[in-house]
Formats: sequence, C-alpha cells, structure tokens
Amino acid sequence: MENPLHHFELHTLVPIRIGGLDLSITQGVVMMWLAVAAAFAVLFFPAARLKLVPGRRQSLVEMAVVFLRDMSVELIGKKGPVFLPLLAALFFFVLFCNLLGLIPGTFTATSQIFVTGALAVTAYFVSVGVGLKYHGLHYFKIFAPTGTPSWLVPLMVPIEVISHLARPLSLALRLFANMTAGHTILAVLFSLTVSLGIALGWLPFGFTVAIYLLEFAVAFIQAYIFTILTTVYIGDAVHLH
Amino acid sequence: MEAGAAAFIGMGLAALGFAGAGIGIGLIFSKMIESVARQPAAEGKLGKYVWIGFALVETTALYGLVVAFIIMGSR
Amino acid sequence: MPQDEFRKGLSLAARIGSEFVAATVVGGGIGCLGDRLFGTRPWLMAAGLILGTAAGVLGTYREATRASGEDSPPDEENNR
Repeated sequence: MENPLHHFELHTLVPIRIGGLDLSITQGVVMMWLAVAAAFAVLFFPAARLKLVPGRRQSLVEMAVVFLRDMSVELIGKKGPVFLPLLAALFFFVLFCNLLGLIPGTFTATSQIFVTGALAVTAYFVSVGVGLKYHGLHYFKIFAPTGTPSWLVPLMVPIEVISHLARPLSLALRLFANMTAGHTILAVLFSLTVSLGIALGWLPFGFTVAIYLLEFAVAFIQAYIFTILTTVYIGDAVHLH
Repeated sequence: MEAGAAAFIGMGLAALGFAGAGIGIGLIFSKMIESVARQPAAEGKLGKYVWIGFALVETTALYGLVVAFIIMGSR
Repeated sequence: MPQDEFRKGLSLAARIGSEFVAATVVGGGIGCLGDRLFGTRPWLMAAGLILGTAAGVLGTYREATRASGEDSPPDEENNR
C-alpha cells in the first residue's frame, strides 16, 4: 500500500531561486492561482453586468456577500462593513482552495500549514492593527484587564500574551488539520478499494463516496469558520473586551 | 523492528485519543440536551459548564494530535 | 433569531477547543526558545507549559462565561 500522506508532498514545477529564498512554483502555488481565477470567474463576471432583477448566479453571489455583511455587522458593529473586502476575500479564497482540492487528482493548497499559517497571521495582524488604530496604546490594556489585583499583574501579563498569541496558531491549525485529515481518510479508503478488488472493494468505496460528500460540507464549514473567527478577533479589537 | 515503523505505530497510537474525545463529546451533549429538555430554565447556567467541559474533552484529543506531530517532527 | 444562535454556537465550538491547545503549544514553544537562548533546559519550557495551560483555562472560562449570557452568578470575578 502506498503512503497515504504521499499526495501532500510539494513537487517543484518551475524552480526559482532568488538569493537564499526558494520561490519555486510548486503545485500548491498553481492551485492557489487556480482558486483565485475560479473566484474571479464566479464573482467578477456577475458583478460586471449587474442587473436589477438578479439572475441565478448573481443572486447566489449576492446571498453570500449579504450573509458575510450581516455577520460583520453583528460581530463588529457599525464599522463592520469596512472589513467586508478582507473577510470576503478570505472566505472565497479558502472556499475555492478547499473545493478545488476535492477534484480527484488535484492538490489542496489549504492542506499546507504554510498557506493556512500565512492567512492566519494576516488575519491576526489585521486585528492587532485595527486595535492599535482605534485605541492607540490603550490597546495594550487587554494584557492587564482592569480589576486584576496588582500582585497578580506579573503573572497575568504573560498569560494574556500567550493566549493572545495562540489565536493565529489555532486558526491555522484548525483549517490545516481539517483539510489534511479529510483528504488522508479519502486516500486511505480509496487505496483500500483498489487493493481489495471488486469482491469486497464496494464496501470502502461506499464509505469513500460518503466521506467525499462530507468533505464538501467541511470545505464550506471550514471556510466559514475561518472567516467568522477572523471577524470575532477584529470585533474583539474594536470593542476591547 | 525498524525505528521508522515504530514511529508510525506511535503516531497511530497517539491518534487513538480521538476515540476518547468522541465518547466524551457525545456524553456531554447528550446530558446537556437531556437536562435542558427536563428543565429549560437551566440552559443559561448549564451552557457555561458544557462549553468548558467540551473544551477540556476536545483538548485531550488535540494533545494526541500534538504528540503525533512531535513524533513526526523528531523522526 | 436562529441564524445568530447557529453562528454563535459554531464560532464558540470551533475556537474553544483548539485555542486551549494552541495556548499550551505557544507557551511551551516560547519556553523552548528561551531554553535554547539561555541554555536553561528544561526549566523555561516547563514554566511556559504551565503558563500556557493557565492561559488556555482562563481563555476557555472567559469565552464560556461570555457566551452563556449575562445570567451568570454574581459571585465570580468578572474580568472583562
């Protein structure tokens, strides 16, 4: 049986080296380009010819964007729609990476922890920047909440800093673990189907189909969770809990 | 036995933690739903403890994941 | 509105479990780096792990308290 983790390995397609940096084009980069292109095709062309009475595709896209806008208003407040471009970009990028990775034979860009890590760090720095912009240096008060006894402060500050730094890690790990786990299960089940043949292979094949459908739901849910948590973090920075 | 094979077995054993988390999450939420069905007024008070318990159960599983990653990294 | 309930539950369930572990890992990682810097293996890592676990417990407790509404008992410290 082949190694089920094999198809998560990156293969260099076009080697590019600038200085000590390895900027090679791997199949992960190509999949991200494809995801951007797919998002562009789905989102841009309905937006280019807006109709007063929306067609099928336009109303679908409008539904998704209105959904994200309502979420941002609910979690951030009146300033929520300011962040809508960022949130929508994150949502559609992760969603299309997840969905394109489900096509057999392709590569899931979001199953690389570097990709999810970069997205999570971006979201984290946006939330810190928003906090600094709206509250100035008062933002650092969250590390020593009011009402903390003064003898507890030296203990509380490192704890608060650690729990603040844990946010991007948990964002990145969740998306990465979900996508990797799902695809590994699909690979294991499918290789079982192949090795068992027709006599018994229908059993794992049925599971493969079921898990494949589940993975469709997971692709949407994980993209949504990534966006909602980014919104929650930005909302925390705006309101200063 | 080859050392690499032992590492793979260890990673698999670490993933066994998820079985316990599955049982625990099922227990927590079944009891939560049962209690709320009996006494709907208690939902607000129970909610906090349910989420704390959920976090602790989930944590055991994710610690298993972390151990698996550590084994994978130190292989 | 059931939509809001669903959203709150989903975001809480998603963040509460993994943030506990992430806090522990971050604490241990910072301790490990400090150990490598100062050569005090393994003391800083142990301290970092303890602090990280404390951060995880505190964060979880805070999130759960905030999510379950304002009807929490008054005798607990309210460090929002």
